[in-house]
Amino acid sequence: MRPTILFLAITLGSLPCPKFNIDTFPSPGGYVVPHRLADPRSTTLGLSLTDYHLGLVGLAFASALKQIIWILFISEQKMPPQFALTVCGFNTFLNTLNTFVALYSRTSGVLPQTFDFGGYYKQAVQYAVPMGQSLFCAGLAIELISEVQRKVFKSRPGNKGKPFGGGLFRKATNINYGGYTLWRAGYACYAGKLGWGGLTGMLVGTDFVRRAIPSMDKYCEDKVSAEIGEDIVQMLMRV
Amino acid sequence: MNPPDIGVASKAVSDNVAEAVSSGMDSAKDALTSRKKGQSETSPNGTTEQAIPTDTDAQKKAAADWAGASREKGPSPVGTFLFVFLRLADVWFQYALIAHEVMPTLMSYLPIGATYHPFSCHHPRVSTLP
Repeated sequence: MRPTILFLAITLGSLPCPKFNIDTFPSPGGYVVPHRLADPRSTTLGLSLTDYHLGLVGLAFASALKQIIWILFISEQKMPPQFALTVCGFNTFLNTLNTFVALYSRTSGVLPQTFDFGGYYKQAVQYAVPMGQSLFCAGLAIELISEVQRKVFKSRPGNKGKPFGGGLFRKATNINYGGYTLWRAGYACYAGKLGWGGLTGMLVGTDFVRRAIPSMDKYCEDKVSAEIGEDIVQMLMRV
Repeated sequence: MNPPDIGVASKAVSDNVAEAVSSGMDSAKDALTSRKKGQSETSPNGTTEQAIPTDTDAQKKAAADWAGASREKGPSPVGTFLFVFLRLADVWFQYALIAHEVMPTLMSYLPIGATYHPFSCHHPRVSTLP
């Protein structure tokens, strides 16, 4: 613990003096992965990024689009400004970490390989990139479909306030959380290979298991026990 | 011996049942109320049962933050607008971090020795290519 604190203190203290910084500490090495196309004619959608980094922005766009659809058309919950700040801040923080690891050569999902005939580099996509894309698509689809199914169920008259256990929720009580964990892990896997993907998935999953799911279970328990209590009172009244 | 008056007996029984049900219902309601409040309760045999431990203030606050407040129904245009705006801003931010050289610039200040790769178009050797 002490060496870590000492390292952080010296590093932070030496930030204003890069020369001292470089001379003092052995650098772990690495470089910024090339991320912009040198040939402006080969841009996609007017964005002069490599396919890999364009895909990274695409993951951020897809996840944001899904969450915007959720807040506008699916969610029946109130969204206080503080809660919006917390949720968006958490997502932006994780996305920024993913962007960092995707740009650092020691953690990125791609590495520059060779020059092609035009004099520009090619990137070697590592095995974790398609795996991350698959996990991301599967997780996003699971989360979106399960929430749409629940929304359709609850929008029917007579189902208001009733718990939904059909559709994908038949497979697991909190299948939508599983979907979120899955696409978060996939996003991280795309950006920073299997290790970073597994770590992110583990952290998000642990947060759900230890905080979110007990909290929601308590909410459902209170709601169901209140309804059961009312039923018992009505039954006794009938007796 | 006269036969028992069935009408009187059944009336007495039904009265007793009604009273028992009524008192039982009241005690059930009381028990529910006291459990919700986390108070001690006295059982019918006179012994005082241990109160059910309630959540700490921090736990209550955390639960309210996540479960309570977020599950309240009703319109919240400010929060919704903020949510949509911040999520869209995040996409632009992630693009800007990469395309406008924000993240590489920040990385150059970190003690990881990150510099541009020689193949990069930002490297002097490549940028001079035709």
